[in-house]
Amino acid sequence: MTTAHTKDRSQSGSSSGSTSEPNHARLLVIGSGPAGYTAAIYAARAMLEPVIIAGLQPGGQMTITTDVENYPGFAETIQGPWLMEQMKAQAENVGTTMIADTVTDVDLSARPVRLTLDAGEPWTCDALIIATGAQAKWLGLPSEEKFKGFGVSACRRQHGG
Amino acid sequence: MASRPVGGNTAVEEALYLSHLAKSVTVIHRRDEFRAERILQERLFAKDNVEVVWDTVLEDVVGKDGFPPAVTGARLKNVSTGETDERAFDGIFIAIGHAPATELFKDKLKMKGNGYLWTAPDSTATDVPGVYAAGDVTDDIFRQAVTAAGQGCMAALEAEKYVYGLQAAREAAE
Repeated sequence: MTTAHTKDRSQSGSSSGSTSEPNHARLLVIGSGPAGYTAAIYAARAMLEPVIIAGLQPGGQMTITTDVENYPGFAETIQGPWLMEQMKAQAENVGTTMIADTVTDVDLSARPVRLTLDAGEPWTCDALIIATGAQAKWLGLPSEEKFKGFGVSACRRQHGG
Repeated sequence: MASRPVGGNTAVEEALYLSHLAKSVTVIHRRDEFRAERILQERLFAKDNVEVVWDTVLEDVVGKDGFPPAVTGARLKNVSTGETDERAFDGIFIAIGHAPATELFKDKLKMKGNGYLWTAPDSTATDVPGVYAAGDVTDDIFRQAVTAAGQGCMAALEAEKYVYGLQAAREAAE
């Protein structure tokens, strides 16, 4: 049985008035890489009904990694994007709610903690796990920006990352 | 095809990978040595199609305008002599490391000196109760998928304890 729910922007969008209570999660995870999905899997099994705000790059840096040879459990070489699809499906299968949106502001001094999203309604949560990851650095040259994707690339995540 | 990564630690692994795909690979490195693992350096130096240019930085990407634009080379600068030099390349890979995605938490959470989120020793707890950090946003040392997953597990177990503690306190107050 699957208890997964998927909300997209249209469902979580601003359909209700400003008087409505924000959505509340007991546990909310920002980010959808290996840290975020694993946190959600454990939290779901602890009956916390976790919510993941997936962010701009669902699956994280592993989705730009090709051959993965050092993630245990797989005797043959696997692909980063495939591994992240599996983690996402596992998180959903145990009861994680996935939200395809980006967090634009957090109020950590509020109780409960409050998050503002780019497209959808705000969320509050009892506990927050930050798993927003990292991104490749760039030199910051105008010429680098101009040819990005046309001969200039960031490196792949380190082999097997 | 000639390709060139720019950078240090990350660059050695990237150059090794590219050496299997490209006819020739040039590594531009701003220092006179690599900090990468010794075994990787030895593997890189053993490659016939890899050249390392030391003490040098990328000043500018050179290319053709139009659509699509195309890289034709790079202007390089030797940092010890100040000399510049233009060389032909078909592709440029920037491999100068990673930066944690922490903009949202600036002035809200304690950070390490290098901008990664601070966590308590042997814990994923940040300096705000009920807020935890896991994976590359806090880990400036290991940065592996499997260590990120492990930290995600730790964060969930710590958060579980916090949430159920909160619930027990609420119920006791009622």
